[in-house]
Amino acid sequence: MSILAYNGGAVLAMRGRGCVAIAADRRFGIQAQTVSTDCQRIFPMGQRLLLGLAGLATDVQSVAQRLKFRLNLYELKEGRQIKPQTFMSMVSNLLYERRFGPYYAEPVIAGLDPVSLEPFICSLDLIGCPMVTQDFVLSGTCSEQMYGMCESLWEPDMVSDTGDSWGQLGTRGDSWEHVGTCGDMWGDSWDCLGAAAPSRCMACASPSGSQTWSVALGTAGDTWRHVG
Amino acid sequence: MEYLIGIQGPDYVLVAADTVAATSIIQMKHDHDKMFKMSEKILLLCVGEPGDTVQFAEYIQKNVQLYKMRNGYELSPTAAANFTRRNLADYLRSRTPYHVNLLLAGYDDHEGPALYYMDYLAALAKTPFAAHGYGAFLTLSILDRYYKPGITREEAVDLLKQCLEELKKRFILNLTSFNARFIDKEGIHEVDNIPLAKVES
Repeated sequence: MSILAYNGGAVLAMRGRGCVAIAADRRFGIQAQTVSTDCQRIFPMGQRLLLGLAGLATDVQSVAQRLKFRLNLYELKEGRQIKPQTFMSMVSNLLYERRFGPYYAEPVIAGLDPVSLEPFICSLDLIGCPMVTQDFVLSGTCSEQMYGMCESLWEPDMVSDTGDSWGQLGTRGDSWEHVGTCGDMWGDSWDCLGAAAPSRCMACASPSGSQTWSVALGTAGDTWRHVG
Repeated sequence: MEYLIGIQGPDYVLVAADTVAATSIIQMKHDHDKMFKMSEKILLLCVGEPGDTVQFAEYIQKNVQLYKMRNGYELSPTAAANFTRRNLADYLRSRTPYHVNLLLAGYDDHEGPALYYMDYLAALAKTPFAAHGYGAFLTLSILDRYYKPGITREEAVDLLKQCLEELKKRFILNLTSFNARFIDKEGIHEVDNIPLAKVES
């Protein structure tokens, strides 16, 4: 019986266009017995930085608490929000300090750079070896199953479709209103206002007509890339 | 084997424990109280390794009282639970870990009632109902089925009785006596009419 499988749990993070997503299960169990169904495995560590931890529940809680302590001190000393890459090094350091009596927790970090809003994901093993990827990271007791799903379903440049980034991936020249900004066009919020012809394709400059327009890239529908 | 159970209602928490203290095959005491009063409205139910239970529970109890003396007001149940967890987690990787399973139940005038489950590895979970021991395997499903968030005190006592009846029926170890207490904004109150023998201490 593995210590990392005593409580069980899984965390998964993916990178998209101008965004990151992180997800975790909420079961707190002791081997076969489920104790609660609302335990927290994802901890906010900054305005745009989230830490997910899978593994032994007590160490998940201890690591999250100790890390938050160190992060608070960092922010007080530096007077700014931590970068995800730096936070990854902080997590790595905390875990490697216990190299020969480790915390049984495997973290996953997902966040945006506080200044450039560049998306960042990474995972670490229980002794702090970091791994940065451009697609997805995961850890937990069903890692093999998650690797299978991610590998087959993930594709680059996916956008958030919760209404936060894109109201609707429009077709045929819908017009879009720019409703929110985070400094990068890709991460901005867009709301679909209705159908109207865009002016020109961004890539080939051909005017709109009967082409299919897939992704709105500009303001009020005036820059479009057609896909068919 | 020892059994603890807690049920949180809208403005109270009901907790119960068996009152058997056993060593190997002998029942040493039939009226052993496993609930420790942390403060006027917080109870810590503690089972596990025989010496560790009392030592750890009293240590936490004294520190909660010390906080009250130093600061002039009591720790909230959330704060007490997190303090307990921090202590248990710190001792876990020392030379002297405590092997105790806990339920911490309390009432806060601002936050309302709270029930916290903690295992011996110091994993903490706030739950609407919880149980420790082999008896948990038989009674958690009954709690899942019949618990509802607005449960009244009478219904909670009935639910507790259903759980204890299930233990009497299906658990091979004969846990004959239990004691139960309510915690609400007025403090801690004994429950008199649970089935099976009442604690005399």
